[in-house]
Amino acid sequence: MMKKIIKFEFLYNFKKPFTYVFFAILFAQGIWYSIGANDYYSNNNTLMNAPVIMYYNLSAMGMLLIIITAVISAGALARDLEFKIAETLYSSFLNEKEFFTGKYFGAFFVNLIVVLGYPLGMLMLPYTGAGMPEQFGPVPWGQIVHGFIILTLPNLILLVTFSIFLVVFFRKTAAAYVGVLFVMMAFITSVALREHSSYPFFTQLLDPFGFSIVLNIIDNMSIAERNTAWLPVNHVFLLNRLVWLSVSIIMFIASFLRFDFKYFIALPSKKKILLEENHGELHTHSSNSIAVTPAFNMASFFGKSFRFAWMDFKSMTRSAVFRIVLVFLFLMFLGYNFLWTSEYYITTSHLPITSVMTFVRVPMMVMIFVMILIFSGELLFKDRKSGVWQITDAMPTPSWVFILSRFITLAGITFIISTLLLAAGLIAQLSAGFTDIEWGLYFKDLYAARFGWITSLQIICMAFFLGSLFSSRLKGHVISIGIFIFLVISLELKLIEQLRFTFPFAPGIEDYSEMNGYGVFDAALPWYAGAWSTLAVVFILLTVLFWNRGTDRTWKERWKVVKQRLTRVNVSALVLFFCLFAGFQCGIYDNVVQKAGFQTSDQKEAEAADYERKYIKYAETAQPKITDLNLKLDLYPEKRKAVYKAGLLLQNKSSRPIDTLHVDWKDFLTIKSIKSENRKLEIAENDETLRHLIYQLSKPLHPGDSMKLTVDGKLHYKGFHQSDPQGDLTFNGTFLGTDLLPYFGYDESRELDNNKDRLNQGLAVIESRMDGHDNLFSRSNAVQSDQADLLTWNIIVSTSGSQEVAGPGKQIKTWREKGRNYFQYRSEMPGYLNFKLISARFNKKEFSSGKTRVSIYYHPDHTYNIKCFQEAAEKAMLWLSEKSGEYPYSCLRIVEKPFYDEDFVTFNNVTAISEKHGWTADISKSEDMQYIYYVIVRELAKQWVQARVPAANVQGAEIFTESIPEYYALTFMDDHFGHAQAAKWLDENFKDYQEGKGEEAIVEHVLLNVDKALYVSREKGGLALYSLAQQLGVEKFNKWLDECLQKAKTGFITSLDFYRDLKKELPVSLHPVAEEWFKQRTQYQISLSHASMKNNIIILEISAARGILDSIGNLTEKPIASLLEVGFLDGKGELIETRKIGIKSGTHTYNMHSSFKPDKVILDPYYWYLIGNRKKGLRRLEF
Amino acid sequence: MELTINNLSKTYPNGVQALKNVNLTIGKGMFGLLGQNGSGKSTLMRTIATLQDADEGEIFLEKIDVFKKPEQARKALGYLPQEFGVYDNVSAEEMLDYVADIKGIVKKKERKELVEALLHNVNLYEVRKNKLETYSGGMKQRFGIAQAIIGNPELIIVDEPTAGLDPAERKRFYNILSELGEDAIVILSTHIVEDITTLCNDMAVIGSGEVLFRGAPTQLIESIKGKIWEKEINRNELPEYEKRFVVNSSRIKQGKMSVDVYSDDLPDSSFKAKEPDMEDAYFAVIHPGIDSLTFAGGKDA
Repeated sequence: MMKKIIKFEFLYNFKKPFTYVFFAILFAQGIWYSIGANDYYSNNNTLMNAPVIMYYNLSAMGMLLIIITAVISAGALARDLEFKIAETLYSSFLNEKEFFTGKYFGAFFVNLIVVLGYPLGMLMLPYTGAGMPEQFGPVPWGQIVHGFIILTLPNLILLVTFSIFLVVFFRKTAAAYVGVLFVMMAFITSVALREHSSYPFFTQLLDPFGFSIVLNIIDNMSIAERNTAWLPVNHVFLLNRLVWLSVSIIMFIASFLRFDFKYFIALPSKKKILLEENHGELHTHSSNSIAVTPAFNMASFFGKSFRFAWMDFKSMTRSAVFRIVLVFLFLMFLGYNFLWTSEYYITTSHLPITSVMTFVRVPMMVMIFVMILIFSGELLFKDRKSGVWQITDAMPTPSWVFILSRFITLAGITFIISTLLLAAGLIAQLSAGFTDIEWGLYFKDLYAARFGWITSLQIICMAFFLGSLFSSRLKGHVISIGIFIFLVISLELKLIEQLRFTFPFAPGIEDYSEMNGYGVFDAALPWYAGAWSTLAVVFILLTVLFWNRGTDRTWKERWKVVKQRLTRVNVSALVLFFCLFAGFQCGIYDNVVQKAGFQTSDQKEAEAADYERKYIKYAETAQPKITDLNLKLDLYPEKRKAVYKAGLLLQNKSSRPIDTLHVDWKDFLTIKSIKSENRKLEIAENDETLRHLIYQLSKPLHPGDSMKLTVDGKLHYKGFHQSDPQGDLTFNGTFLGTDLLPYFGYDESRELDNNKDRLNQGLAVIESRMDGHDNLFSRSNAVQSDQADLLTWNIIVSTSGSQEVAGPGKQIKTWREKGRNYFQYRSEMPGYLNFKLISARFNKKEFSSGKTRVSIYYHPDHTYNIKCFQEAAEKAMLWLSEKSGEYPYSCLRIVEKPFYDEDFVTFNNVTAISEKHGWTADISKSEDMQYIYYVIVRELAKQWVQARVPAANVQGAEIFTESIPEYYALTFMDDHFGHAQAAKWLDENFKDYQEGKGEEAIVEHVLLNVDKALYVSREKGGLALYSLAQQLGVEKFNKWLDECLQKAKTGFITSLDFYRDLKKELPVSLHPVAEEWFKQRTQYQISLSHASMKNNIIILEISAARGILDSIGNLTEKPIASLLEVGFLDGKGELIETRKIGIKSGTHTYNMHSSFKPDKVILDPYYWYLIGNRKKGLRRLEF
Repeated sequence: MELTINNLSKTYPNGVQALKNVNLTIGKGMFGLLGQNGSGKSTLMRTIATLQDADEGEIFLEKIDVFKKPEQARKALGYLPQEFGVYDNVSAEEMLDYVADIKGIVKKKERKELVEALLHNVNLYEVRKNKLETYSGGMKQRFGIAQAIIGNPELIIVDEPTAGLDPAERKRFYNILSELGEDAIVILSTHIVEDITTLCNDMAVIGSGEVLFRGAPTQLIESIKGKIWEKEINRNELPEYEKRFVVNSSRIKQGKMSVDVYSDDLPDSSFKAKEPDMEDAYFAVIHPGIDSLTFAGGKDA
């Protein structure tokens, strides 16, 4: 019996063309996702068909796969009800449990075969031309099968079982669709929380597909491992599989027990009442005498639309399924706001500011839109599905009235969903006592066209059109959802880069700045909203045109009907709205492409490659350096314009005469003129396309000589960009850098630094992002800027009357003139050409710290944590002064900046911190309060280091600019918050280091040769110095560091100099330690498998291994023969004592005498070693 | 008011010719369309009801071209299909109100009065608040007729209205249907002969998409008078009789088989003459071995 049913399911499904369409869709998804997964791993050494890509895809499943599974599985049982065959069919079967099992396995096996399209697509990737042959390795068959068995198969079992479970209990296909949407939400939530969750164990268990666990595992893999390894299965993974498999089993058993024929085909209890017959006579006469006045005018039709909409609205909102969906959505929104939002959004937990509340819609909107698409299709085809069309289609109300009424209903439903978001946000805010509610932002985000209500309306129109065009509810669902998801994924994978091709997306959805709002994206929104809204109207008009009234027709018959409907009015409306749509598209094109100069990634890469090919020959051509800058700058933030006149004093610091001046300039910058006081500049070459100009000097500039240049320039952004907020010149929060000025020489920063991109453009791969120590040209440049060594400046900058400018140096004066604010800044001492000018509406908090005048410039609404910032600054200044001498400047500015580009920027006198780092943190949580201290110390330390150390622009320079400040921050945390607290930051460093390794696009260089890789310089470098300080003695180390930094007064120093000095200071016993940190990629695995105490002897079983990795992560094990510090903790977790023991590779038992009884033992409490998974080094002592 | 159907033909994509050159003119009153399952009745009904297209031909409701101006035709139309669905979660009162609104009765007060009257008429007033999905088959049909007559349509099409009704329910339905025919063109499509004999004074027989007979029921019966002969036989003799004679029908009566044979003359002495009824006439018309042109009335000109 069961076999017969399974066989029938096979025959039934594989006779349907749609089954093959599903297979083809999943095949395409396999290819598509492989390309996307490959982009996730930016390192070109990762093969395109690496095992890691397979595991990534097989666990992700894909939204289309999930939906297809629901369609097939739900159909297996629900089909019998929907086609009303259940009653006849069920009476033929003897055993209902066998029937159910047959249906279950039939659905499962059909799904299994269809889903095989997915890995097949992945296997076919090499043949699609998606990459070069050398980017593919041998087919990892074993890992594919392994991944399919441990990932795809259990996930498929879950989806099939859940779909069938829902159909059994709700007896509706729609229940299965809605159910899998919730599975997808759980999945998305888990992935979103992966990186920053406070409860990683639970968020990983929450993930029904195990994807976040797989990501965690493979993120920590080296490149070599990614290309060859099998997925190591850890306990969390096993537990996740066990949990969800158990859920599947429970659901299966519940469905199995619940299902029986009588139950399944019976009407729900409230429907079971069969009414008593009334046996009276029937007449028509009395109703014929009722006087009625039928009306068939436009007013009556519109009135009907609203009345029908109200009826449908009541009907939908009465439905149990719908109410459950709403409740669930509301709980999800609340959960996000209370627990998860900040984890997803920034680095600390957050006060419930409005922008964070409304951001909830972004990760969830894809799911919500899919739900809206389903609701739309269901409502549009309500009459067809119920069979009511048989009477209503013969009635004199035009089809458009019904279509409009359904649109109005759905507008109401989606309005409710947006309002639920509002309610969830308000509840989260008010329950936290937060009353700083931005109603305007709520309205803008939740009800407008940036993933708001208007977007929902646009989506509804698309669903209507596709349903009408294909005249099928199911086809409408599949095609509309398929198109929508295709657009979403295409944007993510950059298959489509221009938003004007991706209905209904608008720019800036994820780019809200507390300071700058949506900035230039607000200018873009009306255009995109207009385009999509007019397109939506076209969709609706086409819906009416294509709507099939009456019985089903062939395409030919339908086309005949369509032609009949092409009345003058209809055609005019279509033409009008299509022209409007085209008009908006033209406007977008003009603004984005023509005026704002949008380029696709390929175009940008091609331009960068062309620049390099043409001008790299000048890379080491000597150019004069700026020694003095006199800048008069006028900012017009509201126009996004800056006009300046700069007087530059340039000196030839090379040993060769200079007779050409190479000038580069940034996009949108117009250099109106460059004049020399005492030389003629003749244009030898002017490349407007690549923005490079070569002047021939009338007389060469000899070594040591100077020349004055006057530059007139203008930076003006026009139009609007679709993805670049152009934050260097924006409405509020301009962060304008010295790239405003012309660049003299070959600009290395314009090169492609991603090897994959370089290969695509036919360029050679690079080994490093910086030149080596032996490059004399780069050694003679400062890492901060190769345009100037140290320079002095005098800057007069004006801005709009409502804004202030924070700049480098001492503020000489401020004044107001003709409604504009003016500021003059002058260098207190020579500094580097790496400063910014920040213009925004600020409030200021001013105070003194020692001899230094400190100003905190903050966004007027962000008053929450200013006191904390002040305290942090005061303590940091005091502490750093003790360690490194007085603060080098007379004044310090701590400035809040929009989140665009870098989060932290430090230069003379100024530390700029992104609005997402601390300004709106919830400092009632101590770790978030500590975070403010931590970043302040680190960033202020950079000012000390920068003022004292002229670091050369070669590999290793970031030891000065990042490692040392990071070390100071970690040590400060130790001193101020205790080691237990500081340890959390040390662990965070290690975690960030591991993550950064996973994202490395070239190769991981050793610390000594670090090349613009923060995960090495800041995370590992900070740990390295901390470790050495702990082993040497912190005070001694700090003293040495201070002296070392003081020493570097002339010329540029490199990490080699630093390392040499360090080794001189360290005892010989610590030289190997220094070498491990600076010259190797050494990693330890040290764990404590047993800790006990008996008769005053502490017995520890320690497993230790040491590995040295090459640049792509191939591991070589090396024996350990070194000291390990062991810490003893009391019951409160305080460290009471440390001991040093000599450890060896492998698992060994170590004994030590102890007169006291500690509570716990911890290995390496002071982070001497780079240890993976430190938690394994902590154990409670057994007695 | 007259409904004129000219040269109507329809072939489905699978090749089945559902209507072949159908010509009919139908005036006010009860018109019966009799035919077996698959004869083309419902196709014809749906086509008149503007739910289906034809390949060729025209339909005029008075001067309204039903194909070219379906929205005009629908204003004069009431339609009770063979099968129709209902919304779940909607009561009869709500649904009738909705249908009245669709039919153009936009004033709430008028709709309310009308719906009330209709529900009384069809004896569903007491249960008007109950959900339609809880209704029995007969109640659902009564609801169906109520919605069909909203707006006093001039053309009412009822497609197999009594199929599935018990005898008592059917009798009650005959009352309401007969009242309808007093003021409108009512086309009753059915395969139940009793419906025609009870209700219709004008009829057509349709078979394989063609009109095989057009005229009054009495005419049809008259045309086979003296041509039906009956005889009791053994069950296993039936095949032989079918070879030898034109067997119009066979039946079991009190356990014995009886055959009715069509012949101009007495086939043999074992047969006796039968007074034909509507059923006999119907079987004779649709019999492939009997030329339909022999029947008085024949196809409509």
